[in-house]
Amino acid sequence: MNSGTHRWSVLPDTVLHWYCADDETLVYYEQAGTTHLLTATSAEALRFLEYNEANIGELVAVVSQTLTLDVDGDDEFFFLMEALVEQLQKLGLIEACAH
Amino acid sequence: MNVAALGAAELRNRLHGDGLVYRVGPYAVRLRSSIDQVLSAFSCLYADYPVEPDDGFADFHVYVHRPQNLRRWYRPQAIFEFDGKVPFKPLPFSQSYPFFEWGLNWCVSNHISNHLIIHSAVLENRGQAVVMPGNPGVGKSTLCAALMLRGWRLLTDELGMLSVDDCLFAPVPRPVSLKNNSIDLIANFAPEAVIGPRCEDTVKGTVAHVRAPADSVARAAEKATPRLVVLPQYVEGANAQLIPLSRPEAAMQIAGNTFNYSRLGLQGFATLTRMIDGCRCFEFRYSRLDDAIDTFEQLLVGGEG
Amino acid sequence: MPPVLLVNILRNPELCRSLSLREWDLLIRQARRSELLARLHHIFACNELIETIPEAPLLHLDSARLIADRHAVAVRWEVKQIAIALHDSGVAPILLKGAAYLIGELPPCFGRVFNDIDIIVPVERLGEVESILFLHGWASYGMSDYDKEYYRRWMHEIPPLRHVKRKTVIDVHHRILPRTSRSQPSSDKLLAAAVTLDEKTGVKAFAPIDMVLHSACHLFYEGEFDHGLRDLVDLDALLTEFSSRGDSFWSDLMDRADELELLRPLFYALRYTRDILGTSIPGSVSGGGVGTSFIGARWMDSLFHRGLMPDHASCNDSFTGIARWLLFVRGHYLRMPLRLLVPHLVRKAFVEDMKS
Repeated sequence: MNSGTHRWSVLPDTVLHWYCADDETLVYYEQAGTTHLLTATSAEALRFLEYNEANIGELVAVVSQTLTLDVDGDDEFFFLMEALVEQLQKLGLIEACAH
Repeated sequence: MNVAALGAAELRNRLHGDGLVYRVGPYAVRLRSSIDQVLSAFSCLYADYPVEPDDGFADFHVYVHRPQNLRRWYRPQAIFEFDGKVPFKPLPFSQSYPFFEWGLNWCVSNHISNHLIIHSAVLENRGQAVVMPGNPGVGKSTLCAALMLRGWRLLTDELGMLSVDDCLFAPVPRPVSLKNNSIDLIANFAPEAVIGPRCEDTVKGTVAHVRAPADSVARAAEKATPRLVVLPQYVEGANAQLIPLSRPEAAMQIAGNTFNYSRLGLQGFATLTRMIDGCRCFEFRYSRLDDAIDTFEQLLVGGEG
Repeated sequence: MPPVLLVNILRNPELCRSLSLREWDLLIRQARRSELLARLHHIFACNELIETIPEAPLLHLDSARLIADRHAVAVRWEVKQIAIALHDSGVAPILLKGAAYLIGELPPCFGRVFNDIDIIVPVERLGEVESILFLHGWASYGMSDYDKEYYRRWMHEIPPLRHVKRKTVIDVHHRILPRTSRSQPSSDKLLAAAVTLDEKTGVKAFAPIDMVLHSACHLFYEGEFDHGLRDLVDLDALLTEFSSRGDSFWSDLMDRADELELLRPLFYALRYTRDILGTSIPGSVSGGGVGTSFIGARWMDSLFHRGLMPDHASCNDSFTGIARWLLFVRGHYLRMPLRLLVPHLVRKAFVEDMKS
């Protein structure tokens, strides 16, 4: 799948509960009853997708701004984000939005 | 009145009859057994536990007995009953007493949901409870026995009962189960320790139980505040070493060591994160019990003030 | 037979105000065995009795209720997954029993815990549904080839499907009684009358009167009564709810039972909810006229009044063991012709013996 062009978000009606400490984040997905340990980057991406739809490029912009990372023109961060999104999808936390 | 004050004859009568109701922490247990090993181990290890009125409420009704069939003579077995139902296959007769303790763990962990039940040892000293989650084989029970024999208050060696209401640990101080080499190790470490009968050839090897200190039993109604999470790992020859662990990471490790985290749903997550937020968390490698105890004492100092 | 404390409390929850601790001890054990602990909590809560309950028994009621609440969240999630999986096929799954009560927010759902999610689909779509569910992670598991073959040939459902990751189990039905059963209520009629429970996911359930008939049929064609009292409590709650919705309920129910050839289980359902739980049913309604003689009825009473009690030592008399065994044989007899039943029971007994 070409995740670069898809738009992503959490499933409709998803309720997430957060716990952040020591630069790591736990998220509890209420409906599914699952708990996940996330790095700061994945956590920020998921936080954004909790209330918005976004593609990888938009996520790169939002996350790098929130975490004040300088990633201008850095392809590696784009690929990292792509990998993170794929992980979040595998965990059942997000899905590709219907067009 | 405690079990010792009941006297040997009366204890026997009750175990053989309708059962003896005794209290361990928040729970009253009605125990029936016609098996001598259960009687002798119980009278040795439970001498200090309060006896409850016979016509009161019991949380768990437990009966350990021999089957009434040919098995009485041919490779005899013991059966564990929870209020008339048999949740497990029988075990060899020689393991009757540990069977009772394991069975009771099952009763508690399957029927109590106002606590997050963490597979861990929990002890308290100077108002700080330390939680030691861990799979079998990491040395958690040995460490637990050593700390309790050096004056730490025992809350549990197996079932950490974290209240979902107040996020405090409710003590359920029962005899501490030791396996194989740990039995002699603890007998040498603390010659005054009271150790019950050794049961050989169980699935876990040789098993024996150490009596919980009378003080821990007497203070079983006193809850304790979690302050430290320590994931122990016995490493042959290693010096005592603490490795800090992030709280979310520690919470994940604990979640994987609970009996009812997923059954509690959001309440499980809320209780776990509330607990971990007030704790310092470490991995701990050790080989010598005295080093380990020193390390724990120093951790306490770090948590004061 | 000894009077059963749990039944007295179900009939009149107010009685709990005067229970001694020893009686509470017994009540909790009977309710646990009947899987009615969380239900009992619900009943006490509805009657504003929670505050009168001593701390020790309340712990067990609270524990059970907490589990039931989380269970409800998990089932809602699972049902949604099933609906998503089947969405493109156009087959709207019809939920049965526990899951239907929960998604339909019907009175039996409060404090009801169940293991599997039961759905029914048209028999001609069965293969398609099974392959779609397989693609979404549900596969049959842990069953001998004999058992699988037995299910496929004779049963009203396919072998249970378990989700590879979540370990949740779905039972997919295509009729409400086994193919071999003496009674063959029309699945087409039941499916055609099904109603939508939830517009968003499109999941359905049987129409109210069919839901009652299915519940009755399930209970009174069963051989094992582990949950007999719980199922009777379901029936009581369904009857009370639906009869309050409209005046024609009782006559519609009788007509439909006649149409689906389910008068006999309905007769038992009405008789024992009224006798045991005191369900309010008009005197003119009995499901009678099904040709049960006075002696026959007395005989069945003596079996059901035992089989429907909690399977707990305190509820037994010297005849209980035999009564449960006779009901077990009866359940199988109703569901299977003798030429199949005898080899099946013999094989079961033999295999069980080998296992122990």
